[in-house]
Amino acid sequence: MFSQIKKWIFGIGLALVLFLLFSLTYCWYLSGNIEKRFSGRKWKIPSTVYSDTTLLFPGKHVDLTFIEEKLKKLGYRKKMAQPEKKGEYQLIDTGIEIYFKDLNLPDNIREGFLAALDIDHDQINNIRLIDTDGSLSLAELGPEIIMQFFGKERELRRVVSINNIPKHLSDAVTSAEDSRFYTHFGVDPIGIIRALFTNIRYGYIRQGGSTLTQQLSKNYFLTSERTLRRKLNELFISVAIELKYSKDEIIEIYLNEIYFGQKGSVSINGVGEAADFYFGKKVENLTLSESAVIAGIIKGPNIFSPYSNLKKCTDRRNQVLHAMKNKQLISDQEMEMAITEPIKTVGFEKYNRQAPFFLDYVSQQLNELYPETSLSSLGFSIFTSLDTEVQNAAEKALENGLNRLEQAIPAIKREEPIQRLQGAVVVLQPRTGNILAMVGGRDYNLSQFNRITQSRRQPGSCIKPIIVASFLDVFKPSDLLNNEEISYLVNDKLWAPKNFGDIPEKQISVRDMLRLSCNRAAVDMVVRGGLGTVIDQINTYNFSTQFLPYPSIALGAFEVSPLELARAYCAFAADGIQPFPLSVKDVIDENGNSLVRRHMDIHEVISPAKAFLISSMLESVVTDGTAKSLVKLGIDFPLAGKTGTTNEYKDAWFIGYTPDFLALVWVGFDNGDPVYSTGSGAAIPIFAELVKSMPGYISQNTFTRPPGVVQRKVCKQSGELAVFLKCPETYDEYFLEENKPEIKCHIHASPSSIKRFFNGFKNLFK
Amino acid sequence: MVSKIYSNKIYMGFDRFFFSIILIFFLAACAGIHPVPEKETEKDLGLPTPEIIEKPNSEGQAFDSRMMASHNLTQKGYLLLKQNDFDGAIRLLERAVGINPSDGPGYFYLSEAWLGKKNFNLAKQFNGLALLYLRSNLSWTDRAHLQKKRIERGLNGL
Repeated sequence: MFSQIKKWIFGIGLALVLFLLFSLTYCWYLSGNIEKRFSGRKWKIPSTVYSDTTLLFPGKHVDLTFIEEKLKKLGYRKKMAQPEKKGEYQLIDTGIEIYFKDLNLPDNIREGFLAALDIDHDQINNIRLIDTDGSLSLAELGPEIIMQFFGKERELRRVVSINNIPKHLSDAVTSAEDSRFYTHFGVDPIGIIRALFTNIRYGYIRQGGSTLTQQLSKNYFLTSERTLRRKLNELFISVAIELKYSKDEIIEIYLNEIYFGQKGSVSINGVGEAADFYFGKKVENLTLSESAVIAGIIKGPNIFSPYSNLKKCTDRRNQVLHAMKNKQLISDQEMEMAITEPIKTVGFEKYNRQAPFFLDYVSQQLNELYPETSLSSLGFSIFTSLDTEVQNAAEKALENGLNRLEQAIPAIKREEPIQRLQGAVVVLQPRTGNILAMVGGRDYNLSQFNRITQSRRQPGSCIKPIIVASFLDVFKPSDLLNNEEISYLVNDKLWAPKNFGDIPEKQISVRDMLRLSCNRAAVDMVVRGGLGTVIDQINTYNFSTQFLPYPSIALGAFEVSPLELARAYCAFAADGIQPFPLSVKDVIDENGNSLVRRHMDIHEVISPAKAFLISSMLESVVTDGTAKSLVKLGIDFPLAGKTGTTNEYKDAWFIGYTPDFLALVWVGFDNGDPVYSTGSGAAIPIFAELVKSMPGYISQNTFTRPPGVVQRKVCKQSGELAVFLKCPETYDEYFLEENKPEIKCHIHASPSSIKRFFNGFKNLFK
Repeated sequence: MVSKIYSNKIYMGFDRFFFSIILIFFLAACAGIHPVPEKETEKDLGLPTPEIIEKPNSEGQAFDSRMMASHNLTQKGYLLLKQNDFDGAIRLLERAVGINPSDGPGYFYLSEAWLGKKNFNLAKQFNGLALLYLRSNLSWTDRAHLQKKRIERGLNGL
C-alpha cells in the first residue's frame, strides 16, 4: 500500500518534472519566436496620402461655407463662444475665429494659435491675432487625409511610446482590465479563480480571467477560437512574454495593439489612434476622465463607445474611475472631478475616398517607387499637391455640366451608364506645375479610365495658340491671313479646310484667327510658315505624340493626352516656362525622414515676350471671341482661353488660364460619338462653374508685359502701322521688339501733298 | 552755464576731429599696398535680405496682400537658405511664387537654392525669371546679373 502511494507520488513528481521541463522548453522556444516577432516591425501601419495645405491671407477670396466645411473635415469643432482650445472655431459677425491646430509638416512645424479672419465681401480683410491684437500676413490650415493604403486588415493605428502615454491612462487600463498586472507573471491565478466563482454564481460568463499579457498573446499571436489548445498556448505565450520583457514594454505593446472601435469599415487600434478618434487629441494630452473613457472602451468597444451609447460609456468610465480610486491610484477629489467632467467627443467622418482619379495617378507613381505591401505597412506620409476645394468644385462642375448638356440635347442621352457622355477636368498651377484637381471621368465607380492621363483625343482648335507661337518670329499678330476657300493637295488628295461658323472676311489678322478660331486662316499660316517649323516647335512642348507634317496639324487633327495639352498651355501662362506636372511632393517615413522630395521642375519653351503675345491674343478670345459667353456666365476677371471642337463634334474643349491657375475641360464620348455641341457650348459652362467655386485662385492679376514687347497702333485693313487720321479703323497691338511693323499702311498712307492737291481738285469736278 | 558746457563739447569735438584726420593721414602713409577683394559674387557679400519689390502694373489692395503673403514665405525661405537648408527653402519659395507669380526675390532665392544644390540648369531657369521680375529694381537687377555669372561659371564647370 505504502509502496503503491510512493509509486503514485513518484509518478506524479516525475510527471510534474517532465511537465515543467516541457513547459520551460516550450516557453524557451516560444520566447525565441516572440522575440523575432517583437524585434521586427510589430504592426502594419497604412501609408496616408494628404492633400496640400490651405493658405489663408488677406486679400484672398474665400467662401465662408467652404472654410467651415474645411475646418470640419480637419476635425475642428464649432463653438458658440470664443474658442479656448486648439481645433475649435466660432462664427462671428465679421468672419470667423479659429484656434488653429499645431502643424507638423515636412517644412513647417508650428504651434497652434488663436486668430480671427475678418471677411468682407467674400474676401479676407485681415487675419487678427486675438491675444496680441497683431495681424498676420499668412495662416495655414493643415492638409486633409485623402487616402490610406490599407492592407487586408484595414486597421488605423498611430504608434505611441510609453514615455508619451500619461500615467493615468496606463493606470486606468490596468485598473479596468488587470488590476494585478504589475504583480503576476503573465497569468493571474487569483483572477482566474475569482472569475470562475463569479461565473458559477451568476450561471453565465460574466467575468474573464485574462490578464493584459494574455489578451496581448491572443491578439498578437493567436486566433479568437475557443479551444483548450488555444487557451494553453495563450498561457505559455503569456509566460514567455513575461520572461522576456519588462512590464513597461508589455503594456506599451498592449496599448498600441488593442482594438478601440470602428470608423466605418476601418478599425481603430491603439491608444494613440483612439485618443485622436474619440477626442481629437494626442495621447499625452488626454485628461483623467478621457483616459478612463478609453480604458473603459476596451471591454466592449461597440457597447461602451461614446459614439454608440453615451450613457453606458459614462457608467463604464465611472466604474474605471472608482477602480482607480480603490487602488489608490487617484484621490477622492480627482475621481469626483473626473466624474463631473462631461464626455466631449470630437466627431468623425467615415473614411471616404476622395479624388479617385487623382489618387490612381498618385498610386501609379508611388508603385513605381515602393511595392504595395510597403505602402500598406510602413506608415509613410505622402503629401500631394491636391487642393480639395478645387477638386470638389471640379467634380461638381463636371457632373452638373454633363447633366445640363444631356437635358439640352436629348440625342446625347444614353441608357447604358457605361456609354454615357463623359468629361474630364484638370486644374494646374501654371507656374509651379502643381496639379490642384483632376477629374478623369464622370463616375469612377463605373469607369476608372482616367481621361486626363490615359486618353488621347484630338485637340481641335486648342492647338492653334501653339501653332501661332511657332511662327511669331515670322508672322506679326496684325499680319493678315487668307480666309478664302483653298484646296490643298495632301497625299494626292485634295483637302479644303472649312470654318465652323460664318467668317465672311477674305483676310483676317493672326489675332482674329485665334479670336474667331478661323480654320482656313490657321492652315494658311502653317502652309506659309512651313510645316517643318511647326513640327520642330511643337515638339519642344513635350507631347508624347509623334507629329506628322500635314497642313491639318493647324486644326489639331492628331491625338494628344489632355494632361500634356494642359501642360503645354502652362508655358503661355507662365512667361514661356513649362513646368513638370506635380502630384506627389513629399514622402516621409514614420520617423519623419524624407524619402522622396519633388520640387518644381521648369524649362523654357518660348520666350516671355512670345508667351505674353499669345496670352494677349487669347484674352481676345474671352473678351470678344468664341469664349465671350464666359462674361455672361459671370467671369469678370482677366482671363485668357481657347475653345476647341473637333470634326463631327467628337470633342469639345476649353482651356482657360490666368497667371494663378489653368483649367482644361474636355467633353465627349469614349467611343467618339458626336456631342452635338462646341467647346463653347459644352465645355465653357463647366469651366465657368468650376472657376466661380474656386475663389481662392481668383485675383485681378494680369499678364505682365515683359521686355521685348512693344505696342503699336495698326490699321485693321492692312495690318500695317496706322496713319494718323487716315486709317478708318485702327487698334493697338502688341509686337515682338524684333518683329514689329515698320511699314505704314499701304492702303491709307498719304500720297504727296501735290498729288493730294490735284486729287482734291479733281474731286471738285466729279 | 548750459551753453558753456555745450561750447566746451563742440571745442572737444573739433579737437578730436583734427586729431583723427592727422592720424588717418599718418597711418595711410605707413600702410602697405593690399589687394582689394574683388566684389564679385553674392556669396562673398552674403545673400541680400528679401524686400518687397513693387510689381509692374500692380493694382489694388488685394494684390498688395497677396504680395505680403508671398513675401512672408519668401522671408522664411530666405532664412532656411541662410542655414543651407536648400530643400526646405525651395519648398517655401515655391509656395511663395505660387501665391504671387511675380515674386522676383522668390525666383532669385530659388535660383540661389538650386545653385546650392549644384543644379545649374534649374538655377538658370529661375534666374531668368528673377531677371524678368526684378528688372524695375536696379540693385536687385545687379544681384541677379551677378547670380547669372555664377550660374554660367557653374555650367561651364569652373
